[in-house]
Amino acid sequence: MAELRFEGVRKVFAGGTVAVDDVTLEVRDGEFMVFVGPSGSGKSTLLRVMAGLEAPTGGTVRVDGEDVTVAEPRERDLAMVFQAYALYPHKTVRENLEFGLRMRGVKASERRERAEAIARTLGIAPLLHRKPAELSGGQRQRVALGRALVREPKAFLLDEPLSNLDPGLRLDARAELARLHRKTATTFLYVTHDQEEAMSLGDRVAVLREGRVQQVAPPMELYRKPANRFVAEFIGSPSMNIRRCTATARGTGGGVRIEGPGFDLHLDDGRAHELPHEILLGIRPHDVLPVDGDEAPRDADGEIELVEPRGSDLLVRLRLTPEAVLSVVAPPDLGAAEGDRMAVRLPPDRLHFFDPRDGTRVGPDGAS
Amino acid sequence: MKGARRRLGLSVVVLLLAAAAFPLYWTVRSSLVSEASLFQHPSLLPSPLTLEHYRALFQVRRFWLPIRNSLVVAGATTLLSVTLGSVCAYALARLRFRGRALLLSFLLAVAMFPQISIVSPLYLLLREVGLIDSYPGLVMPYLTFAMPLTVWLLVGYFRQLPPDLEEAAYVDGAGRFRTFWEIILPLSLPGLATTAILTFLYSWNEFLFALSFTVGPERQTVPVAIALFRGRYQVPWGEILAGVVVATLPVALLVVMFQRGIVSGLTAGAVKG
Repeated sequence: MAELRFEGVRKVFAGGTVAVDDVTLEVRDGEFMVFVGPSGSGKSTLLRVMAGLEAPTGGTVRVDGEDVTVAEPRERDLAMVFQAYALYPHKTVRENLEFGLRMRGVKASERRERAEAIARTLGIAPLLHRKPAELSGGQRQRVALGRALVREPKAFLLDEPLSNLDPGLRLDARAELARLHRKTATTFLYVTHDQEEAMSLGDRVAVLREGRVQQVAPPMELYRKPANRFVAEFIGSPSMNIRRCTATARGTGGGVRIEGPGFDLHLDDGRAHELPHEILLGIRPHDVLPVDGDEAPRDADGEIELVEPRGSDLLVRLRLTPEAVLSVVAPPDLGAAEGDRMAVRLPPDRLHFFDPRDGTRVGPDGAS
Repeated sequence: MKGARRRLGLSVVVLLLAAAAFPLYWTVRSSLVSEASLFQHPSLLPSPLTLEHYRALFQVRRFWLPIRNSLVVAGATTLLSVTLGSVCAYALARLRFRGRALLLSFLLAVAMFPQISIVSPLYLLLREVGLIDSYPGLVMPYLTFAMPLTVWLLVGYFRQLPPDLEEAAYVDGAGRFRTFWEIILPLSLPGLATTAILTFLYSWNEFLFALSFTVGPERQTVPVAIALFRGRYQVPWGEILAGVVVATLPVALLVVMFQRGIVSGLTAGAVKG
């Protein structure tokens, strides 16, 4: 049980690469915090700084308020699960599980009991006498989890622990992780590049890019109110449509006209007045509504360039103008084919606006 | 096509093996015939066979003395070199410090010294400290050549172990030394075995230092002893060859024994397969 804090943490690698740039962030006691971002965003480096495997170039790292910035890894009482599992290949599963306990001077009889209890929880009890080379990928992943769990540390650090699993196993393992978090009620700090995994596991998710925190929020808030263009495009699949537009106030009534490549729409929201003239308009493919008939009101139309069946729905690429394409998630009974024309509505309460200069969110909250 | 290529490869291997093994065979064969028949018509399967040279070797020449000396010197050199060298190599492989690359090239440079160039200074030095004709007087000079080799080989070996394993051990609560002892060394057994064999072979075969820094048979090693077999008027070829056979045996045995330790793929399963 512990609260983890990063205070103004910076990490510059030899050669001058800035991996982490002034990150201040708190992981609350018992929270499942996920760091998500593309490769090179500094998420793994932050985790390793917390584990004590990398020394930060600047800033402070705290566990339960205590400054551990220069403490050795073994003094921090954190457990880590590595992406490639890092099981000790010359030791059996039992020895792997007991290693951390032995290093901490736990008695042999107690080590035995605790290792066996964890092995039962994770369903690896029959494998205790095997060596890692004799295990399947899923089993190794469980042993790696077990090795962390058995120590009952202050917090768990997990570095993409599911990324080496087959897609089929991954969903099960994800559910298992969520279950273990509830059961242990311990702080989890989890790193992944997979936004879906981040959304499904995290109590809160921190989106990182180029060593900086872009937004820290619960998953649904990230989705509904992304703080900037990067978060908007990174979170959610398929990615949000973002187009450069102009916003023009119409009279004093509060209406605003938004014009962009291939569409033209009106907002009656009073707050729309706050929009700068040049803006980026964003809408999720799921929020675009296909409309039927030639007479129906519409905000944009175009020619269907590609229809990708996805089982439960269709992903449609709609070409509005020679330069502009809109992704639309349409119901499976759409009844339109490639080459057909399609009209869509862009519901005002589903629109997101970003400042084209720095990408930050502006104007009326598009989310409900 | 495939079969033909296989057969070609196989015959090349057999030829190479025969070329390598023939001198060895000829040595063994010649050590088992009488001095007189050594220079008569050579035949592959001579008769009669005799152990006369071996008897002379051990009864007249007390050949067990140089064997003991060689075992002590080579064994001590190997033990010290691998023990000290592995710790040193681990530091060079994993710690980040200023001048590491320079230190490594310096080590290599030391090993590249022509031996003959340091025989005289070493002799003077050893005489000064009273170590001429002693075991340390051989082991220490050997270490100057064996250690750089050991360190270089092991640095390469340690570097290719996944650093994840050490990091996992640190987070699990092990310090640097425990990690080295419990994780690195067991995983490095193949590398350690290879290094040990090379060091042992080097020390076992070394001739120049052994000749220069020993005085009498009490401390002479096998190569020196064999070299000194030749008298003023005759060369006892039979005994020399018998000595060579006896000197080759422990080394051959050692290689065969350690070969079991050289198990590749010991790290399989450490990281995802």
